[in-house]
Amino acid sequence: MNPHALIRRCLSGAAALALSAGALAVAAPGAAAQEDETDSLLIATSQEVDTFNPFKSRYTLTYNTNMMSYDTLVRAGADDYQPVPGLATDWTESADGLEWTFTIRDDATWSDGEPLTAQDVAYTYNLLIENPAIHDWNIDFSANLVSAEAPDDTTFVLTLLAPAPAEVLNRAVFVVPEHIWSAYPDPSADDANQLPLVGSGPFQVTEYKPDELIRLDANEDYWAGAPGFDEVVFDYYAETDAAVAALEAGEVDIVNGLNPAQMDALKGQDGITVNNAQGRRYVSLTINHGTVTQDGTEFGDGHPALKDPVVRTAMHTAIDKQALVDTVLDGNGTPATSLIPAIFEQWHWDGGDDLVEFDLDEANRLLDEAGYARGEDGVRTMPGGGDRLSFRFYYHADETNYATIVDFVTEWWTQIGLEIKPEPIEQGTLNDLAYLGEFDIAFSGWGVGPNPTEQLGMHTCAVLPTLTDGTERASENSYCNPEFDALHEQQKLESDPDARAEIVKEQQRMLYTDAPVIWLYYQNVMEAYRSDHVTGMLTQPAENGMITGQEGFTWSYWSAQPAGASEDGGTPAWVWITVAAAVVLVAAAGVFFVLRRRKTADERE
Amino acid sequence: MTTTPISPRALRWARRRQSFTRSWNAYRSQRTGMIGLVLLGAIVILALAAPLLIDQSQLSVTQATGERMAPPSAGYPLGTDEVGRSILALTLWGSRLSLLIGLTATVVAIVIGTALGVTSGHIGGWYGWVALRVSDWFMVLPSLVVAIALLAVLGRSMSTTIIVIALVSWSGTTRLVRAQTLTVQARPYLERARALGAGHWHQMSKHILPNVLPLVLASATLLVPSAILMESSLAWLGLGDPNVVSWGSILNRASNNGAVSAHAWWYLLPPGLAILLVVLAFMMCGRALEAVFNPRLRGEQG
Repeated sequence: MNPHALIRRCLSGAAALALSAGALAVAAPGAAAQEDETDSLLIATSQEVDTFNPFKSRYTLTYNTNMMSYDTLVRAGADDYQPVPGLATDWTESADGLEWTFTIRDDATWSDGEPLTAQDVAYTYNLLIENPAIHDWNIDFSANLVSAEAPDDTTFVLTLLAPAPAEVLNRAVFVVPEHIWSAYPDPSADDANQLPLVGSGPFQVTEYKPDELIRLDANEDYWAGAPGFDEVVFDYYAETDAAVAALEAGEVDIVNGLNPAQMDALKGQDGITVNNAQGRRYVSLTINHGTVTQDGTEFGDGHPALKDPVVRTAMHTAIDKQALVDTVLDGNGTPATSLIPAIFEQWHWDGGDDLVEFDLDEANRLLDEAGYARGEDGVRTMPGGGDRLSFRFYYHADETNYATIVDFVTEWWTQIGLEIKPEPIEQGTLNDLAYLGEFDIAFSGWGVGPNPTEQLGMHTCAVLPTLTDGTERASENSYCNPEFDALHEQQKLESDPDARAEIVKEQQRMLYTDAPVIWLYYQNVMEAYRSDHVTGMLTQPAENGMITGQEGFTWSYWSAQPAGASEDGGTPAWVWITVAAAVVLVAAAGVFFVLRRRKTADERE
Repeated sequence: MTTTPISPRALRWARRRQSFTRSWNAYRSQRTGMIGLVLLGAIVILALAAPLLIDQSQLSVTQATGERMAPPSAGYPLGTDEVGRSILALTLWGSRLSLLIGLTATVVAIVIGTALGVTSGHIGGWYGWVALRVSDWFMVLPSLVVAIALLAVLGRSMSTTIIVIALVSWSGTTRLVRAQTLTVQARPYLERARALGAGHWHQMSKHILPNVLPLVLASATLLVPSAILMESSLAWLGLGDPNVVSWGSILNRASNNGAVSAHAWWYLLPPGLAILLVVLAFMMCGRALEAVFNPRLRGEQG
């Protein structure tokens, strides 16, 4: 082959490559535009999925997917947590408070197109009554149910053992489709509800990849109106810092669980709105004051000194909750008194005259008077000598704030003559140890709903475990006080809100002064979102409310609308056109060059 | 002519002095080694003097006076952390723990490695074979993964960290020492010692060990930085002792408290650079020592 022919071939090859590259470049924007037609609401998360079974799941993340996939009869309103119509448009209570009649809306359909009727509602409540496993998981509510019937397609009648108006209206019972669930051999099994979920809510879970994403598709026929976004995707980010970086880059729309440093960094950035809302969570220290079963069998290995209320009160006195709020939360929270956060004003108890003030001298005096003398090493011992007051202090290894709290509390408690041994433990293991009673002091925390019964109920004798193997986990801390229980029954029946609030506050006062648990603070919800992508989200409550962590219904995700659809953040079209034009020009020049070379070569030969 | 009788002890010491001087001269001729030594000396002095320079109360969270994550200022030359403690104080006090864990873990690893290396090389037979296989086994285990698993089982404290680091890093020394033992073993004077009736213990302690020690010293110097890095990695992953301050745990707190998002470089850089400097100093010293004891590595030098 002559050398000229070789050069020619190389050149024409290059020209062909350049041409095809040009074609690709021209095709690319079209493909990108097609993907953008689905409006996705991207939410950063890090929590794992326990189960999508709405009767069994306990995690915050799956509580959210439940609220999105399914509906409840009545839901907590966005404005002020007051009950508003869900699947039920109307409800009446019989005079004796035992029979509730709900009118079920006739315009609700399941996401597979089947109509939703009162039969589905009756089927769901009957699962709570008849399915043993589902009954046990929800024992605090289901034990009070007698029967659930649907006389016709729009009427549902619920009969109770004892009146419990707040329970009936606030309990999140997610209504499931009978035509799907009745085909499952065991509706309580984890694999009972296969993806995609069939529900009547605004979004249904269609895809779940562990540690990657949860995808929920919008229900266009939702009875309250189609959601603004076509899908909601929970994206997994192991570190909040990574989620913050993704938010800044526009790869995720909503991030929550931020710390003060991250809030400050995001504040004032273009297209990002930070939201600092009063929260409904508390962080507490559970003190092992002696774990017992229903029949009084003691188990666990808590320190004997912790059975003494004086020691617990001294420990309580030696914690400066305001300092914790100021440093750990950078002021984004309020010091806690008891288990109903300040956001629920009508139930919250502010401490009144019993408020424990931070005072190390007073704490020392209490312990001195009770006979806990200091040993040579400065650590107190049990009265009359014996065990040193050395406590194990367990905290969640993945909770940064807890680690800082531990530093503070350990220093304070060391000053009142206690020896503290902090130990970070994984969440699952810590829960196991806590329910086995094998700890001295451990961290705990709950998101509280608008009905105080659920939280207060965790401190009654009725929910004490029957076994010592730590599998029954209804009792928060083995607290059992008949006086407290009597008040608890009384508040459940009380229909006058003010009178009920008085009882609820008295219950909180009892817990506070007895100190089986020390409540540290109510933390704010710190979250941020891309306001240039998402708009119109309802907060709960309406004033200074939260977007993530809503209760009863995910008002925010349902009401969210895509904003500024024209700016997709990708490469502008003119860049693609210029690139394509340049490539075509180069290719043309190449072809022209080759042809000319061929021509001259031909001429020469 | 009278000769002063020299006692064997004096002779031995004179020889040791001579050999030490020779090694020192060889070491001194290497510039990087000297820089490393000076750097290391400065760091050790700072670490030892930390209690004199900065009161321990500066590590207390309840007595912290600074602002939250404030940038460097006159009062806080390296800024503050999320509870208002001085980063300078934390870094300086952190050096004590990082060095302590690094050195202790190395000593433990070297003792295990040398003991197994000398005995397996000298005694040999099935014992030597088993010792070698055990060290092989430890060598192929991925050290960080094993360390994380062990810490999860043993719990997090300073002593468990030391044990775990020693456990995953002794096997290399065994190999090295065994090879050197076999070389020494083949020399005629050991045959002479055996012929004169020296037992295993005498041969190992009087003849082999003194000959492998220089090599052990060089390898130990190179093991310290990897132990410090391992401690920092574990602490950064949140597996350190929660009750003490080390460079790794400072980095762990920094990243957990959003120092990256807040661009709080003063929180991340000091402990990071400190780790870098210490590791660099030890590496420089170790390389120089290696060159002293292994002339082949020394290259063209006066």
